[in-house]
Amino acid sequence: MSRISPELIARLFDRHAAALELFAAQWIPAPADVVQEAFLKLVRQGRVPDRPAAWLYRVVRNGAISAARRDARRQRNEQTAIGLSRLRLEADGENPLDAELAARALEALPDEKREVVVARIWGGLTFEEIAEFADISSSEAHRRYEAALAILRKSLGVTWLTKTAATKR
Amino acid sequence: MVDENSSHQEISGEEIEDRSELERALALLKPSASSIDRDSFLFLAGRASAQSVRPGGSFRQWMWPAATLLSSVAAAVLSVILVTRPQPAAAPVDMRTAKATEVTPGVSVATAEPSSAGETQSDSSTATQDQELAMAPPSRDEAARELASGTNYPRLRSYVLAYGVDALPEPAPIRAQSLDSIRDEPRTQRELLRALLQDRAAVKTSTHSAG
Repeated sequence: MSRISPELIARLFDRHAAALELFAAQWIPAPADVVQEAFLKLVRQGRVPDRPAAWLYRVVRNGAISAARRDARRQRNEQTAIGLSRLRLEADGENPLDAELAARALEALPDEKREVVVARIWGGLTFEEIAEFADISSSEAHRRYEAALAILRKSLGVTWLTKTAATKR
Repeated sequence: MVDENSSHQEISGEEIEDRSELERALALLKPSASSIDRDSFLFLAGRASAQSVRPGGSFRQWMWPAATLLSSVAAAVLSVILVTRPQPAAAPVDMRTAKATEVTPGVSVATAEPSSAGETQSDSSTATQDQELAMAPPSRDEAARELASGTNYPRLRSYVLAYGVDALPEPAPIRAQSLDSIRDEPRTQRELLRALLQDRAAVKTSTHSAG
């Protein structure tokens, strides 16, 4: 392991901060604190882990789950009152998918499948890295990812097919 | 929640193509920008980095917990020793009560509790008793003798502490010198010198006469 440098921290932050917030938002409504604390923990550690991204996802996951357990009742009340999706996605003009619908479809996934999809698609992690933070085998991570995509395809199917057909025409 | 059994069905080629398109479409959706202020975060990161590499940082961090742990362990060990230590064979003698229990003069009042029959005293308890006997107040006669001789001051002191100053026997009266003897003694240096010379002359004459 090499020493942490400011350049590495800045690069990791630029690459993963937003995805990590999306990842942590699966469990808590205000994920910024958990994500920032994970980065600061990495800095305090002084050494770069073998897989920094997987390390960050593991720390954020543990922190978010702990925070969710701590504030379970409060979160449930807030979420019921607001009625909005916690996963915030933004679409550009050319995307055939509706961001809000995709977020709701993601939220409908089981936890263990959703975290794999978020880490793979928006975090850019390999299945080995996903396996590391989720304490599963890489083949199990791959299996969960495939299963999650199948569910998403089915739940987003109508919109997806309609928009794709419209684009092809 | 969507039915998960669908994932276990056979996957057709069209479905695989749909999935890869779905992946691409999902990847085009961007997570909302981070709500963490980048500059303030980098400032905090720099400060945390400086704190983590500060010399003696870990020592300072662990010094007080270690000291607390050490003293707690020491207190626990001492408490255990205090609770489990063996009782002394003979109870210490209280001097004030010893005075009350003194029956006959001449017998030391530092009588320890009689040991039970068949019980052997350890060396340490014997040594303790010897010490107590040495420090025990003497009887009135012994005190008078020690006062006259001026020896064994600790025993005399313990007598005074036990019975008070008034209990001390009367000291031997100072013998008054006769006026004649006082008169014969030289009072000045010249008289002393003269007396010495006279003594010396007397010694010489006696030796000459003897020779």
